[in-house]
Amino acid sequence: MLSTRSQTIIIWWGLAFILIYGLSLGFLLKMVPLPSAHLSAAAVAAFYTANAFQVRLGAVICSYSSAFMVPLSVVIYVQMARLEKGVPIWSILQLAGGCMMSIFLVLPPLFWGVAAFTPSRPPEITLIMHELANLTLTTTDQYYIFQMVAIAVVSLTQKSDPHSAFPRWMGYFTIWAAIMFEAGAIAFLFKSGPFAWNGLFVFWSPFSIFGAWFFALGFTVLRALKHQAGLQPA
Amino acid sequence: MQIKAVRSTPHLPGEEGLWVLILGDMMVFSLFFLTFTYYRGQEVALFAQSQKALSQYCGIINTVLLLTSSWFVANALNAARAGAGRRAQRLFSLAGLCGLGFVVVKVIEYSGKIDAGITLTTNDFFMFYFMFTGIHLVHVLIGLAVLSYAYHRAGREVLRPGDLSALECCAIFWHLVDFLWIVLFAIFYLMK
Repeated sequence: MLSTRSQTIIIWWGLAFILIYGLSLGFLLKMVPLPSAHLSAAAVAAFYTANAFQVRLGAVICSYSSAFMVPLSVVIYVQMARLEKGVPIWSILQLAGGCMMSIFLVLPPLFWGVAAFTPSRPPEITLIMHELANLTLTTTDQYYIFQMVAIAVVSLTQKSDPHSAFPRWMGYFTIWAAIMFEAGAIAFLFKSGPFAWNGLFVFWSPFSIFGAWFFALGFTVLRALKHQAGLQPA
Repeated sequence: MQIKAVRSTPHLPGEEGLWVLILGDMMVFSLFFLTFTYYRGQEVALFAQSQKALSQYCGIINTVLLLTSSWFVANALNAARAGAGRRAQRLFSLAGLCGLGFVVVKVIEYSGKIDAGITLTTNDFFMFYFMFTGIHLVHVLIGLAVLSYAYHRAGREVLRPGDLSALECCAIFWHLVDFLWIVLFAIFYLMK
């Protein structure tokens, strides 16, 4: 029997961590939204000088919590694998994509933390670390796409299973979220407007859709786990 | 006869879940249009000037192509419902051809712009033009894959309600692609 209890705990763990990550991104690192890409090197260095402690504290907390994609991906793997026949190839792809994505969630706080570590250095050096952090955050969607395509495929091709964690609408929702994520990489081309790294279509829309997708997935899996737990002998 | 049983109840075309994708997409495109209108309000003269560089002919040809393809798709669905799988297949491939035509015209249009030195970074009008029509073009390409799936699915010996529902989903997606283009066409090529 699958350990539904452990899976439930792991999902809550992931949900709690994404919440902590998001809150420290906004309140400690002050990166929601990212500052304008037109800021001069001096202005960027001044930001890190003025906020050195809280950016570093934010980096600490984000580094702890940034692995929130790992527990979620593992439980999703288990839940997807029970719907696949033979080698659960889509489940494995999902797990690989989700775990790799974790790397791109820890890198931006790491880079911001480095920028704030010695803000007295020449401003241009701080600027490059700041830019690296912001572009890493906004332009790295490739692994999500693998994770999302895999989830969409299994959601839409599963044989009907009353205890499936993936309702068909979740498959369509995931396709939509994957399409909306594609705009992120465009941030390399613009410094202002809706496609800049702090713009509507590169920052606000992918981040809110990602948040909504993550929680929707977490809660559909939790609901399914509750059903599955009812099946097990006490 | 099975088909009639399905159609006699109030009927949402396709399946419920698909509408999450359709409405989600329409929401995002509405956001595109609002953003475009907002930025246009800031630089009316520049947007009007830039609009003149667009080829109205390409826009009209593409609009006609997509409308025609939607008509083919609608007829294909009717053919499938009547059990004429072969005819449905023919109509789906005609729709796909129109879609391919759209892609060809779009590529010619893009390369003409790029040859004339107009790119994504020329000004705000062309940023929106390339981005929004580009994202739409991705939808067209996905739509072409969806149409070839519909072609394949309509080729089954006997079409069951499940097949019809899948074909409806394909048709809905293609109509969405068409609908989004009509709005894009209006704001980029026609809005005065």
